Amino acid sequence: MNQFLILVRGKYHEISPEETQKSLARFGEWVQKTLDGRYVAGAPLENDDARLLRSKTEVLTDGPFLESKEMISGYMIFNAKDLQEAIELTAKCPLLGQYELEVRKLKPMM
Amino acid sequence: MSDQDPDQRVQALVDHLFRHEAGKMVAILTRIFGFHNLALAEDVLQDTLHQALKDWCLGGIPDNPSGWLMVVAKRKAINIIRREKHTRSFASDMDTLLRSEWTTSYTIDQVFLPEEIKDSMLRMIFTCCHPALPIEAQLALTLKTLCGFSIEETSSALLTSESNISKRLYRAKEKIRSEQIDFSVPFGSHLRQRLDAVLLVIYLLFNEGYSTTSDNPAIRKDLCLEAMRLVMLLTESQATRDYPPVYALVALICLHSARFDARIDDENNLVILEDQDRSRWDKDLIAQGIQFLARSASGEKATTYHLEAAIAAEHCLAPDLASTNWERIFNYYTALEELKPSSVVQLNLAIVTGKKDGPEAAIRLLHQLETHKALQHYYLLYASLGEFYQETGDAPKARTYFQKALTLAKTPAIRTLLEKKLIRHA
Repeated sequence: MNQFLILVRGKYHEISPEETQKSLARFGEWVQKTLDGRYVAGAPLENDDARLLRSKTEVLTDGPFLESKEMISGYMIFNAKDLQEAIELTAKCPLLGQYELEVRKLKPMM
Repeated sequence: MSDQDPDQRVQALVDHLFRHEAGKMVAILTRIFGFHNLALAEDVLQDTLHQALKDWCLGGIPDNPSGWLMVVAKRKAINIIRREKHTRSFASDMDTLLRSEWTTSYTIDQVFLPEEIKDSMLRMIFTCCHPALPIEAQLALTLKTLCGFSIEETSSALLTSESNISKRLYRAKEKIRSEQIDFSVPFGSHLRQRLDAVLLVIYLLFNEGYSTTSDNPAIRKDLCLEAMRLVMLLTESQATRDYPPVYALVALICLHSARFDARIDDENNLVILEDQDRSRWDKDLIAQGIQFLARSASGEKATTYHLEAAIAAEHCLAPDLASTNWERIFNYYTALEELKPSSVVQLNLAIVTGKKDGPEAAIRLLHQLETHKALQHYYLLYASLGEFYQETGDAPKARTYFQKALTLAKTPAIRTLLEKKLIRHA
């Protein structure tokens, strides 16, 4: 079993209140039924407090690449057999549509 | 928080939480930014919804979801005011206070207090239901802005296209701006007149949800619930709660809603009054409706809401169809016809006469109504004729009229109902 990381990046299409509620419910279902015990961890990230460090002394605020909509604003870690399965599972995530999801395999340390 | 079972927590959310909070948030934000910045208020709402979706999915549902939404919206409002105070003007009565760094947060905190939230909602109701706007625009604006409906949901609720709704909303907002309609609760002699306009919008929303059937039954029920929520708000606000017609309308809505589920079967077909399982009527709603009806009786004159609520009460209180007091219902319809004459009320009068005095009396009246322009293409007139001819034992005539009704019925639910009658009486 391998671990995979999903990076959540905003696209922000207009969303209605009722859609928001339905997406939340679908997300719960996705974790419960689709991931079915494979969910490991996840957290949202604070968008306003990003700092980019270049060296011990050089701190960039809202670095040059940080167009807020493209910012990584959350992550999830889950288990999957291989990349193929990880992609299939991610493709069913209800956050797609409002967010872009980048799936990366975590390197197993020997 | 990520160890919490996300499914369990998501399920715990109240139905339509976001829709209801959206109405509140837009009202509060518009109170702060001013109506000319309604689009900005809607942006902040969008931003808050996105953040809720992401944070609640990845981090878990907060213990107090409504509180979370309000705090986030408030923070975003403060940020916008700090960032844009040199380029924008805000609500005129607090503009100065918002501009000073000393008072920004304090002023905004005040607007987010529970009593003030109600006040903002009330201002929004009066603005959306302003008589200077065409009634269709009032309905659309109320659903979109106060009830948190999307354009798609609004168009489905009002049975028109999305582009139509967008146009209506755009023109309504322009008109509010160009006519400088105040974002306020009217007072003095204006209040009652404006309140009548508000009651009419709520009544029409409810009717749209209750009496039309479409392929989207969920949205019909939502409409009725929204109408109920808006009218309840009027009973809770000091400015509006002393006006008897408010209670008459609440009573009307409660008494009809009590029968909402019983009049639709499992296949989304309409069930007529005589076939309804009365044990499925909501006893609590009926009791509430009766209480509100009693409270509404303090006014100097009965409105159409009073009379319609009284008719609904008669039906709700009859343990079965046979014990319906048709005499009293007849009197209410007669009063209704005097207050606001209409062909539909006359049609109802004819039907009630039939229940009271026998089918021949009804048939005579119904045939007279055939010449009415407004009823000529109304299926109910012919369905009623079919029904009463059936009672007299004239099956061929009954069939003729049921068939005529069938050709005029507009919705599938009503067609199914009539087809059943044709089969039953074949």
